[in-house]
Amino acid sequence: MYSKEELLDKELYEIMTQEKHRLGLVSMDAPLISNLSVLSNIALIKQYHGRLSVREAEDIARMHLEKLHLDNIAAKRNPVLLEMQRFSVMVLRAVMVEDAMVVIDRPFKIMPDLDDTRFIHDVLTSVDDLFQECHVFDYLWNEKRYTGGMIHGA
Amino acid sequence: MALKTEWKVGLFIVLTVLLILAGLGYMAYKKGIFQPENTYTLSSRTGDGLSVGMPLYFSGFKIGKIVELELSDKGMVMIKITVPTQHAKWIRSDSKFVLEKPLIGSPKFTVTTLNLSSPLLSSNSIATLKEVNDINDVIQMVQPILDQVAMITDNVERLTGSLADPKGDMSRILKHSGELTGYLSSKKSVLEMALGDEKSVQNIHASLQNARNITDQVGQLLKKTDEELYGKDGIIPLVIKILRELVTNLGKIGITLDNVTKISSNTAEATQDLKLFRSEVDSTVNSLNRLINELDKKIPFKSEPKIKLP
Amino acid sequence: MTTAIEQIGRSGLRAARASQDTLTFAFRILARMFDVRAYNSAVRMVLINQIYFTSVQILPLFLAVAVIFGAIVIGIIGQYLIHLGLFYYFGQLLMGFVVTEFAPFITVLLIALRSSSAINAEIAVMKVNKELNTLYVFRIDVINYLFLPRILSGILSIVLLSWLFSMIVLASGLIFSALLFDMSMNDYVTALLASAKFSDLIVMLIKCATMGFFIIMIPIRYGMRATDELTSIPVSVLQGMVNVFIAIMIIEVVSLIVMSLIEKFI
Repeated sequence: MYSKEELLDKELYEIMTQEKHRLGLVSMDAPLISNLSVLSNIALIKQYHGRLSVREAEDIARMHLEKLHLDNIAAKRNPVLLEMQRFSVMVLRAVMVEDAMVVIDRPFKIMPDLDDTRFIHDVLTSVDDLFQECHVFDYLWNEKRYTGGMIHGA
Repeated sequence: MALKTEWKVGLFIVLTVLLILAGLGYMAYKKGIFQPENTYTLSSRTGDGLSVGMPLYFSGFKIGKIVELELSDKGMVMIKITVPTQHAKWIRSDSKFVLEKPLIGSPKFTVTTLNLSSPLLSSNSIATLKEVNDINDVIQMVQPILDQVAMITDNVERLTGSLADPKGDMSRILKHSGELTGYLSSKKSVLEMALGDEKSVQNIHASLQNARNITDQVGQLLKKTDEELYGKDGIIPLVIKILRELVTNLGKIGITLDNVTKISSNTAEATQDLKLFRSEVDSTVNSLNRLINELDKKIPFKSEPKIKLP
Repeated sequence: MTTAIEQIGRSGLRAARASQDTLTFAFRILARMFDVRAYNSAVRMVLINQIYFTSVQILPLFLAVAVIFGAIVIGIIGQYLIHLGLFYYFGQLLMGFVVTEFAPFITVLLIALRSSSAINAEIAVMKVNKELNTLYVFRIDVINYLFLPRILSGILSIVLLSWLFSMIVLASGLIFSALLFDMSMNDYVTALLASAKFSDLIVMLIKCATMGFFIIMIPIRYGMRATDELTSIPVSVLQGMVNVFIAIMIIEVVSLIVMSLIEKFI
């Protein structure tokens, strides 16, 4: 938790630089690619880094979407997604990175209408076998919205 | 969607590439790229007007091209040409290779074969390239004409001087023409008009009268012996010869008289003809005199002439 | 006076620097083009999609334009040649003008109007939306993933469509020559073949590939110049398209010079 935006940005930048090879960022500053479908956005990481074929990468992506009951939005694109759908897809994309260290940057900026972190927790739990560790960066004034031991930082 | 897109893109690429390859292949086939070629070597004194890639024509059709030009040790230009095998039949051992350099336009490299039954030209033999240079030919053809033009110019200059000279031929001709016109108006005979004096006319008339007399005498002679008439040295062949001469000379007089009528349009020619006329008349008179003399020698009885002129 | 000269000098330097940057960028892309590691299924997917958008989607319009323009151009050229008594040069004009000049120019014009502007806007929007940042964060090489397939698609599309355009124009020329000028198929094909030179076609191929490269690369570069503001998108598209047309003209002139040099020395 950070009291100032600058502090948060600085810390975030450091971790991004240090862990860039396994970074799975979930942030408004790393939006979904708007000219790709949800499925392609998720599959892209496996295609590019895993050098999988389109079909293989999309099968994996589809499987995880089904796990989160989001297979109905596979063909949709970023602008038409609901906030929580968008967040879930961003998490799925992040966990596609090999040995991923998921970094969630200000989740309430992505989902401003969310009251607490239960949804975030549920999403991460659904895919916990796909990442090694997860870090959430947020402001101090959002502290009360976090439940279940997700809080650390300055 | 992805598969559908991939299928469409694949189909587009395959069809377009096939279309391009088919077009290029057809073009290459028609241009004879895939055909085997025969190579021949020609020699020439100069490589002027020759270039690599220059086409070789046979009867107006392109059958080959120059592929290489190089200078031999003897300073001759060696020209390597390639001809597709299908056209090799047009190139025989006695074929003539010619580089035509027209007056206007680019040079043309041609081969002509008069005898298609001659053996085919060997790739090892070196044929000679003949050069037909229109520019040089034209200059050579034009040179004598230019010389003649120079002569004509000199003549024209002299003629102009002569025309301008008050004592020159032209002035005299014009003077004579004036006199001639005067004679014409005085309704004298054409002969007198042409000859200019009555004495000459009288001579002509006398000649003609003589001819009549001779004819009469010949008639008398015919009554003499056959031997005298038809012998090798007989009178008749002699008479015929002389009469032919006479007739020829009289014919010339006629032509001369015709030319006299053109005197006003061609004075120079008329002047010449008038001189000719006088000499012809003299010649006629001489011929007739010779005839009379011959007849006098051979025929003692020259009285009572009865033969008339035809 | 001094200020004006300074201004001219500054503009000249800016233009020279921009040209240098463009060429440096072009060499970077070219180097990447021949690097096998740059290609993966993601890049291939983008390439296929780009070819689809650039070449396949445009086909109906393109074919119609080829037939109409081909008929008009052949009709006008033929009529003028007959009028001037130069119909003998019909084949040469078809090969020398329609195939090597007209077809690539019209193709490039159509692709530039349709795809170059779209790519310029797309890259600018991605930049404004921070989508390029996403690629950076996930270690997806922007040149490999975004630029390379688009530029390759531009090269491939221009080359294929130019040839297709030429083929269609020549095919429609066959029909219109028979209808308008009473020219037999054999005469038409003979006239074309007599004027067709492989060197011209190779120069045309290189010209098409070069044009395809630059009419996509320049819009990408200008798209990348967009800032975080939405208003920078139209500005970047405008600048990109102006530079695309300048590039087309430069390539046309250079290709003409190259063609004349080939004619002179080879």
